[in-house]
Amino acid sequence: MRLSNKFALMVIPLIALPLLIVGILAYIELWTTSEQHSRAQVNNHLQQLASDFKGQVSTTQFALKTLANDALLHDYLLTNNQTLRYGLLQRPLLQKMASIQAANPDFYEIRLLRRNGFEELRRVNRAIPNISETEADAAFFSQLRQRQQSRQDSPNDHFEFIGDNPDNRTQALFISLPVYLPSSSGRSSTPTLHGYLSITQSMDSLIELALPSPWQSNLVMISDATNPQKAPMVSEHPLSNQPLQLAALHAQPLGEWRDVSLNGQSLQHFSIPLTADLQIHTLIPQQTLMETSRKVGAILLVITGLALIIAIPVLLWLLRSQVLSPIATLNRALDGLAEGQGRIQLPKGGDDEIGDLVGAFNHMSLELYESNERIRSLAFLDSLTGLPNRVLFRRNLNRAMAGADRDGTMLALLFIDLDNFKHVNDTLGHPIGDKMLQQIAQRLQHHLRADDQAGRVDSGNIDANFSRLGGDEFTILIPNLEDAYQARIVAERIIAAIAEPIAIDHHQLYVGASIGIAIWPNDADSAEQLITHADQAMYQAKHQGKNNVHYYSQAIGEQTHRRARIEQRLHRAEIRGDLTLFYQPVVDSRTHEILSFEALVRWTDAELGPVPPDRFIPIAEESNLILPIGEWILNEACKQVRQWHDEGFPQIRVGINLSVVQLSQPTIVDVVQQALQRHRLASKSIYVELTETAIIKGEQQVLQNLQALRKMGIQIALDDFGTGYSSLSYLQNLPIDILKIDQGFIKNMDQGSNCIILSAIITMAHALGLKVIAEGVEDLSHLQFLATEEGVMIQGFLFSPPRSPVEAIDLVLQGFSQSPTKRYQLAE
Amino acid sequence: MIYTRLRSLYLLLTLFSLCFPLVAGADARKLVILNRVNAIAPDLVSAFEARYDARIEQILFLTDEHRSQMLVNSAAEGIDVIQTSGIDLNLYIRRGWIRPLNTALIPTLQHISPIWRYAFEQAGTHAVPYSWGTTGIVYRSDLLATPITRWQQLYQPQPELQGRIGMSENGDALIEMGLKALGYSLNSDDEAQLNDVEALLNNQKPYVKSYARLTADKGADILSGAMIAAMTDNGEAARLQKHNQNLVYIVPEEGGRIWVDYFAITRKSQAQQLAHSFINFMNQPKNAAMQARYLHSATANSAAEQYLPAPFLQDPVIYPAASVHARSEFSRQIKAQAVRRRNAISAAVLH
Repeated sequence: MRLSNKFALMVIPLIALPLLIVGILAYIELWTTSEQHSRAQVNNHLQQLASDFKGQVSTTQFALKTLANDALLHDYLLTNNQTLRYGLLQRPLLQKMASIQAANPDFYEIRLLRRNGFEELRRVNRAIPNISETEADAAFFSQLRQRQQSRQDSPNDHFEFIGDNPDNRTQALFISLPVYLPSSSGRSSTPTLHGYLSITQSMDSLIELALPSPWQSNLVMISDATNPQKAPMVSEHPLSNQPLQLAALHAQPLGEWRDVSLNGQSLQHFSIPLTADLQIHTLIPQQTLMETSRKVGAILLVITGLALIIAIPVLLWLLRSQVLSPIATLNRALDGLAEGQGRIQLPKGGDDEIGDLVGAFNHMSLELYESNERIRSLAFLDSLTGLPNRVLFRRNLNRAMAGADRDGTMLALLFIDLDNFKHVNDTLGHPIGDKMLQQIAQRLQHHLRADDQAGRVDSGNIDANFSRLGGDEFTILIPNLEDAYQARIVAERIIAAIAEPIAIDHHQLYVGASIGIAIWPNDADSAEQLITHADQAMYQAKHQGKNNVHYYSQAIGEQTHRRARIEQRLHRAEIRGDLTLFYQPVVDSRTHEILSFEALVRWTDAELGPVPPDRFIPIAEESNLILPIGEWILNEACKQVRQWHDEGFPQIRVGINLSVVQLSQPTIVDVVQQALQRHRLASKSIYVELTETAIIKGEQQVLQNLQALRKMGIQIALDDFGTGYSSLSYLQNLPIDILKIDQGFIKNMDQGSNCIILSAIITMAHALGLKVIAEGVEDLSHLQFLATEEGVMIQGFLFSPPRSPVEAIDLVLQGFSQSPTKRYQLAE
Repeated sequence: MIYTRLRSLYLLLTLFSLCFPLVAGADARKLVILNRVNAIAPDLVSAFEARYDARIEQILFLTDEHRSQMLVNSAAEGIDVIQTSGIDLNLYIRRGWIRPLNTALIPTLQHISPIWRYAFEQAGTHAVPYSWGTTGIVYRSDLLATPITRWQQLYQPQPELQGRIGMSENGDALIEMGLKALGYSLNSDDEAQLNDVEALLNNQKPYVKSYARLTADKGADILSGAMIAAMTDNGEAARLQKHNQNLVYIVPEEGGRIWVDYFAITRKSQAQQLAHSFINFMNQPKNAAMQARYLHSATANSAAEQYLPAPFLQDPVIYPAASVHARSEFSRQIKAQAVRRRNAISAAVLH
């Protein structure tokens, strides 16, 4: 039998049985309590009804007694002269009755009856017709007379009667009091019966007090000893229309619950006395009385049932999730181990026994995996260096090629062959040679792990990039290349690393390396071809002499070679003093006043000679060397401005070019500010120039920086406008102050409609509040055209090429001396 | 409402009678008169007190019913002079509360017109009339399109009058005028006629604004216009007309009731002499004229008319035309069972 079945068989009876027993016991107990409670409630309510009833009766009795003792009543009864009685006494007496009624509106009829039943006086407080003026035949009066005769011993007793009032055909309580008076002659002291006072009361108030929910379906009756056959119903009830054996009920013991069967219905009967003659009864169907008990019982059964339905599945679920399921998982994991599924680690559940078991399994599984791995590495790794062997190299190469195809990047395969290794092997022996190979392998890994923009290697899987194919041949895979020249940088660093002396057993050994590079996908169509071409390139390198790098493709080789040279030389060029700044004036197109200078960098390398900015600036930007260079330019230009200001030209402004790389730095604003502060310059003394592409990229950081610079009061000039795709309307939203129209526009002004476009650009730029500088003004025709445009500044060889600071200031002085009437306003 | 007011008055009276012995001890000559509110001209009271070195104590009542109730309760003890209507006078005499007059003590009796002196049974020997008048309708001519000429207009009101009519608090008056409206005698004791009048009153009841005696208070409904027409006597109507010229008093075409007010002396009075003097004093022609003008109603004293101004004597409200007399009646004692029936009717209507 499965464990889950065993658990189910154990749990269900263990929970179900006690729950059932508790439920049944509680059911019985609650049933009994509820039944007693129901009965007590009915009893209380009936007592309350009785008490209210008695209270009303005693109020009525008091009113009757008060009236019976009233002198006016006596006067009235004793006045035999009808004229006086009706003319004089009746109204005051009716008034008196009215005042009693006003205090007790329930007394809807107060009457004075003669002995013979004649209705001497009748006072009603609601519209009730008087059916008859004599009550001699009325049920109530005949009862009254009978009682009067049977109770000779206490003639002043009240008489209560409940019955139909023929006047309004409703049930009413009649309370009557005989009035005894000495006869009118006054001689006889024995009082004689002169009539009856009677108050008729509505039963409405008693009906309102009928039992509340859930017993509203009960029947409340009042029975009368004098007339047990006909009992009035206090409450509306279907049974009230059926003949009841009320005499039998009246005979039932008072204050005890009894089962009675009436008209075939099983009822609970309970009664208490009201007055000497009256009893109040309640009859409640057995069902109704037990209503609450049944409800409570039903709720209990539902709760028990729900508890069973919920508890058992929850317990079984807990057992399954906490015990059975982990065991099953372990079982499957063991099966997996048996099938050799590699490294299997299970999540550790908790710190219980099952958790310990999982821990033990994980440990065992790990050990097993590691020993498997050790066995595997023997097949794929070079035992000498620990690098992947040829087999694994092929596998890694294939994976890297697929990755490059997928990502659209280039992959470089470097073939490294050590120079002089054979010589070392032959002269110092294999052991030394082996040690050297090991050290070189370490150096390769060490150098390539360094984070280098130019030689990024997939450091997450670094071992996959190296391999030793055998002998002194190593390969390196460089994935994710953006440009082929990057491979050369890595290669040259490897050569430099290997060229370092290697110390083995007191020997200082020097070896070199030749590296051949083949680029995927440019240089080959397949992995085999890529390996072959890299090998060929390596032989080419070796052929050229030691410590050489050779690309399989000659074009790539040359290009990367030059580029690498520039980048290499550019490094720290600003410190070596190879960089200088030249200044080209910007002049007003009409007055030819010098308004400002644009600072332009010049680089003259000791080895490369002068390198034009369009050659080295992109390289500087790609290699981030632009950051130190740019900062140098900024400082140098500021320094120059300061110097000019100090020499007496305080109006001179200089435009400084900022690269997009610089503008992407969050620190550029601080750098500019610091430069201004260092040279004590106002922000209006410089403006910055940037290329259209920098701004079109729309980097948030760039825009933020520009806004911040403008906020400082530095104007922004957009260089080379017209070469990109930006439209004037787009510029409207950019933080731009000056528009520099690209020289291409000016040079080709004669062609097509360029003239019109240029004019339109200038007009629109002005409309946008931008100043305009036309670049590349080289001949007079350009100047003539531009001079027709208002407020345009020009920059170009026609006026002056970029000049050294000294020449630039000479230009200012020259202009000054040539036109002594004119002040060179170098601003705004 | 009326009932509460009566009760408070009754309470006041009870308190008053408690103080009575103290007052009696202080003054030997004192006359206690049970009279309606505003029934004796105050100047006459002071004049009498000065002339006879006596003090007049007035016990006031509001309605005839109230007066009877007070007399029943006190058995007419402690009262010297009763001011009463002719019809109730007869009951009081039968009850034995009234002493026959010593006519020798009232020489001014000669001025009393016999029409009024003998208008009610036994009145001639037991009481002296001082004022008479009619029961009719007062209405606001400015607020009513159709002038009122008939009782039926009051008992079966048109929409413009519904809810804006006032009726007497006196059950007998309601029934008697109702009988007149139906074309019967106001003294009818016919069962069928009484049934008719009961139905008439019950049907009218929803349209009646109040069953109360009219007053000339400033905020009175008939003056404010909240009430347009009301049953009242001519004296009250004349008094009201002083406040509003638009009030018209008529005795309807069906005829009305002629009432006479008397002074009578109680059997148990301890001040017989003074009581006779009082009645005699009131009947002196000048005094009777002053009383008539105070009450705004006709005097029973023929000699007093010479002291009354012509407009007073010619005012048809106060002195109605002969035709009015012709179609009007005095109340008469009717059969006891009919009285009982009337009591039941008025109790049902008024309470």
